[in-house]
Amino acid sequence: MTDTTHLEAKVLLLDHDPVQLKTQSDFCTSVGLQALLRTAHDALASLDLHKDLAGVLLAEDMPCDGPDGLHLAQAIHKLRPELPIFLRRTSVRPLNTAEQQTIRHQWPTGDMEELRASVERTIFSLRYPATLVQGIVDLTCSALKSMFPNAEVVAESPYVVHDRIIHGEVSTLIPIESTWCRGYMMLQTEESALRQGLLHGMSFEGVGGELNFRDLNNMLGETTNLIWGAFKNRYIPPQAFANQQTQVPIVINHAHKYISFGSPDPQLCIRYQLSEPSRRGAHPLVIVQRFIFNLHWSPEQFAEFAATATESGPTGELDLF
Amino acid sequence: MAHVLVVDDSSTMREIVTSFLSKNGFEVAVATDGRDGLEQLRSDPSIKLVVSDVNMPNMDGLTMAEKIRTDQGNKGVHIVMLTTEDNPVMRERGRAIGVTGWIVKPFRGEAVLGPFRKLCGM
Repeated sequence: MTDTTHLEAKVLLLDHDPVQLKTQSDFCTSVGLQALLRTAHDALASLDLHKDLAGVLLAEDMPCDGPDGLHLAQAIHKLRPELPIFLRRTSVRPLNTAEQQTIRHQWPTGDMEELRASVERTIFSLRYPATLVQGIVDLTCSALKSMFPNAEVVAESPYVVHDRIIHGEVSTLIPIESTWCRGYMMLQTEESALRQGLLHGMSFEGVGGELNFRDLNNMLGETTNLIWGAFKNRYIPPQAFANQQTQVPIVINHAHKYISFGSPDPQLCIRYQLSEPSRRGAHPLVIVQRFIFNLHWSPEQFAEFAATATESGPTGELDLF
Repeated sequence: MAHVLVVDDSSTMREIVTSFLSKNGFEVAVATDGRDGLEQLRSDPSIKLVVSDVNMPNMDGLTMAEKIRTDQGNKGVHIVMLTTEDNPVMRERGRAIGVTGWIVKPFRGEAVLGPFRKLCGM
């Protein structure tokens, strides 16, 4: 078995009891959850602001418009059914059928081991090998630097998401198939930020055409191609190329910025910040990368393959035959 | 002035390569896929070097290279593949076809300027 990296994840923490709030905040820190503390009043608005969540921690007796927190849970579930809700029980009344469909995990107050097990089973159900995550970050940073040579590229800490909300207006999608995985890589960014970045000279002089949306699509498309090529050259053995198997439909709803791969498994998510060294403090261009291995995932096979994979990247030099 | 044909379905890559080569004394023509590349080459006998992507719609770069090599009139044209592909099987196919060289993207102009000048007799 290969070493896996303990990725972080963002959750909404909705609790009113100061003691429980402290206990759960400490718990979140201990398991790698970044807790966003919110009240019942601003919980739904927070969903709009945070499109990369992994779940919701909610107290049953949370004061809100309804008689208890379960009404808030149902409102959250209606908006984002892909987010698991972990309900801290404060009563012993059994949940009815509708409530059970909304609440995927309930845990008695004080039983942190029960919560820990649920979080591990649900939010961190896929473990990504540390060498794979670091390799992806390295090859992506290299590709971004080559496409945006005048930008400073910083990769934020990788984390997992359960949300299916798209970041920005421009996104690309490319299949990833190897002997050890089958799935997709997505790149997503905001059109205006990409345009501003190119206007301020992040890329090559004269590249980007008129910077209309087609030009910007092409820019992100070529960046995707570079990352995909580097990933393929490092992690996909040639014998996998002929491995053409069935696919599942990918559902995209642009009006609602929604995309589904048909799998509830967490997606590997990494955000990259591109900023102009001469304009410190300016809003950076954020590019979001996700890997979705929804068709096949075998970290054991990855471990065998990784042992022989070379980590040297392309030099860009002409190799004369 | 040495004449280079850049073949890539990505307008961004065409812009990057063309911009660099033009600044460094090359005259550059562009094509959007292998089929377009063949037409450009047939209509312009002054082209000395073809720099081409591999994965393209309509006609891929290696098929285009194969057709260039089977055309007796193009024997003096050098073909360099500029691609994300680093697959040894594909490289070997290129070598067998008569491709002059292989570059794995990203394109780093400074790394290829000298060899390109040499291939163009500059």
